[in-house]
Amino acid sequence: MDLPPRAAGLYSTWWSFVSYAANAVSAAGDFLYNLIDVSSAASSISKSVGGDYANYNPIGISQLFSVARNIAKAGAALGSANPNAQIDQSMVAEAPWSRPLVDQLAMPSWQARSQVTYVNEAGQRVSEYFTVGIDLVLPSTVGDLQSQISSSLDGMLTAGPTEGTPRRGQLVSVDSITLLSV
Amino acid sequence: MFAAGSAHYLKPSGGGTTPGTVMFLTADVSQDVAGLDVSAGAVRWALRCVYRRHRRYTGQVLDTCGDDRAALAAQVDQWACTAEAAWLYAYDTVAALNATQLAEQLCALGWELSRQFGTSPRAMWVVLHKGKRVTVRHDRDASHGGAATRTKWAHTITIADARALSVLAPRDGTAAATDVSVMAAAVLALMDWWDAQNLGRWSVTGAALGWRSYRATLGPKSVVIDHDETLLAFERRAVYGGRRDVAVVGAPGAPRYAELDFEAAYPTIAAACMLPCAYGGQLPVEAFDPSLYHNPSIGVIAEVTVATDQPRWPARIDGKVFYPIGRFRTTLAGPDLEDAFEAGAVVQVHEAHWYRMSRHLAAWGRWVGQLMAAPASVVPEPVRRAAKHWSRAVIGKFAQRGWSTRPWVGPPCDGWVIEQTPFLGKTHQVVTIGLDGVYYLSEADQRGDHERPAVLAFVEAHVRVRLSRLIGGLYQHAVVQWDTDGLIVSLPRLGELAMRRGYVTNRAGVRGFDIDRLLRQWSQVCWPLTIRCKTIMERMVLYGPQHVVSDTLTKLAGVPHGAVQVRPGVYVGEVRPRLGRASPDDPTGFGAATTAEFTINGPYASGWVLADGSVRPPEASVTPDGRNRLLPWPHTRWAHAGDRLGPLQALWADGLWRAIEPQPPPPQQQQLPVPGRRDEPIHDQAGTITGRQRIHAV
Repeated sequence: MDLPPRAAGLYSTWWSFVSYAANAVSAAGDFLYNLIDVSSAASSISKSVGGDYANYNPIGISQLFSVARNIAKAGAALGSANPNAQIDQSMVAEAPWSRPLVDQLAMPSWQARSQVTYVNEAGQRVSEYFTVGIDLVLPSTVGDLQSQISSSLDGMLTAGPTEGTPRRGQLVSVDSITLLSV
Repeated sequence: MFAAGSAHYLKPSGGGTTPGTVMFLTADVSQDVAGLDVSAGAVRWALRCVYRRHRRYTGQVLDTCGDDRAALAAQVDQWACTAEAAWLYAYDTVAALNATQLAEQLCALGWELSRQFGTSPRAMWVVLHKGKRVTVRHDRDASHGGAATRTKWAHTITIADARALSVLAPRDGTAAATDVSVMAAAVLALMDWWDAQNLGRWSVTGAALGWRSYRATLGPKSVVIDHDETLLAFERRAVYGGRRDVAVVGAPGAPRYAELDFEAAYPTIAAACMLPCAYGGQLPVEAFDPSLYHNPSIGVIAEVTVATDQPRWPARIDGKVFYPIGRFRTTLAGPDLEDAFEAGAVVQVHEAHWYRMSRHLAAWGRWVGQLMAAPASVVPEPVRRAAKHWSRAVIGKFAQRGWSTRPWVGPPCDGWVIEQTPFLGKTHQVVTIGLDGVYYLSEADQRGDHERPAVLAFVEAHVRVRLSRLIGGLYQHAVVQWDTDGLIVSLPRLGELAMRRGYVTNRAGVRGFDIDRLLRQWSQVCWPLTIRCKTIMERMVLYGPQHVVSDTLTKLAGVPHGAVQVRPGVYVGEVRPRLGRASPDDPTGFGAATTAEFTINGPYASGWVLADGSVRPPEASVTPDGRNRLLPWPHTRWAHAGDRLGPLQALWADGLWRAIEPQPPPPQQQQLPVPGRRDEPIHDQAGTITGRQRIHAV
């Protein structure tokens, strides 16, 4: 994705912060922060932290926030969709780190950022993000996508050590999926 | 027929040498050092740089230490920039990079992640480079029509794990983690020897070094590597790993056991036996001729249906490997197939392919065998340890999937991301690695330049057939456990059987059992392999073939090396649940090591465990659509014969039996069972292993 120049200048430093703020939701599922909150907080951080964060401009932040909020909305749309529903454009967002358009057209690819709860090798129940890759074709329905991702992550977590996986554990649940075209 | 035209000859090793500039790093990963302000990012580290070959500094050894991460990175950067290619060895790469943040700090100094990296459950290696120079090529155009360019780097640094070379003695492990001189001595000894042998370019892992050593013995056009995925998949079906199981669960027979094993089994087979070197073609199954086996230049892998009363041939059932009895469909490589035909067990041949056979591994097998057997005064100890590792790893490499790496995309991040990235619809492993926002995707998608799984299938089958001769031979009632290239026998029972057959010594007027002569006879039966007595044990408890606890030997698969027994059947060991940071959003950094309890609550037998502890092989049948299935317990011949099933079974048996109410234990028997029938109760008073016991082998 070609970000606008001002957003591109802030991207590597501010993306993590903006992405967190744009995706944060309350227990009721409402977004916790709006653009004014984020701009105000970013301005304050740029003054107090300095360093790379001193590089700040409100227009760039608002452009980044817009991209991040689109991703959050796509995740919310996918999460609330009927399992039998077809996956449509409202459920997929383009990642700001996506490949050039010509590469995407030549070989479509998606990253499904999945928040997963599992019991790790040490017996601890943990919640982490995993990324599942999808090449060429998306599953036809939301339910298919959820079950294939769940099955894929379960296979990864339960694979034996001789198969080269660094993690071993027991999948408890896939709590959310955000589908990004890359 | 498989597709033709996608094959190449395995190339002999080219030239090259070991690294000229080598650094060694230790870091106090515990972060528990008095007087150190860990919260301020301090970590105690020690760094040594050895200039082995350098235009200005050859022979210099420089040492430094400190507790500042930036200072470490600055020192590494300075030394690495004196050479075109430098190597840095750490004892535990993940822990050292985690504690020192060396990679991130190096990125801040202008180093970049390259597409060369590797991860495994326990270790990782990565290549960084610095000083990019892009030159325009005049000999070709780029694919998009413009001028083609070539990228060169002024400096590269390979960060690798010293443990991956398998040169450190177990007793040196702790010392090497904290003392650079211990690690440096072992690694440099191997490097010096490698150069003296003129074995070519250096590699990051022990397996890769072993592979190069094999290719150094290879003549041109000796081995053909095919890339046809269907062919590779067919060959891979004949790869099962070693034969392993137990004859009894619990404390078997009278006290005193011997662990016997084939000396250097794989390299010995490699040295003496013809092995596949090229695919020949498909054979007609209608008139399949078993006499092909008598032609040593032809080897066959075939998918057959077997009907047998002996648990002797492997088969995959629901993705797991069993040695069943009954009727089943399986893919067998030469020695196993010949054995099955000779036993009259093959009832139908479904698909068969032939291979050209040669002794392409013979020179390497002899050489590695000699290295392993050489005295320490002739071959340095680290070399002998490395050779032992190569002896197992090189033949396995023929079946290892190839990896391909491509640039990938991900969000901006500070520091590392190492993430296993499953892809929908792909069954092979995919790993993403990222450093400071530069990502690569690496997948084991079978495009290796070394894959000929038929070689491993034949070697495994050769060893398996010889092991089966002992397990199913005249002394079978003395054998209580077997695993790939070794077995455990009850010595009193073996002695009784052997003395009946005349293996008797008379020392100082006392008649005894001549185990040496018996083992010589066994070695003749198993030629070219020779069997030796490795360990004598007084008492032992068997949970499964890879779970053996005795007074002198402890094998507990799945329990980490160095785990300590805290109470009977429960071990505490250190685990690192995650190799790397899960994603840029993961604030926890590299996975920290933590302790976990491991409970040994078998049985882990691959057969049915009866009430008296003895083990019966599972029984299989073939469904009308040609799939293997295991018979539920009530339908097995054992149930029909009145055998009583024990209260606990291994996980594989879930759904095939119904748990029964526990019965009061039978009185323990003091006497040896009469040999001749395996179904007699075999119990004794072998004690539980108690106290704190360190795991030496897993």
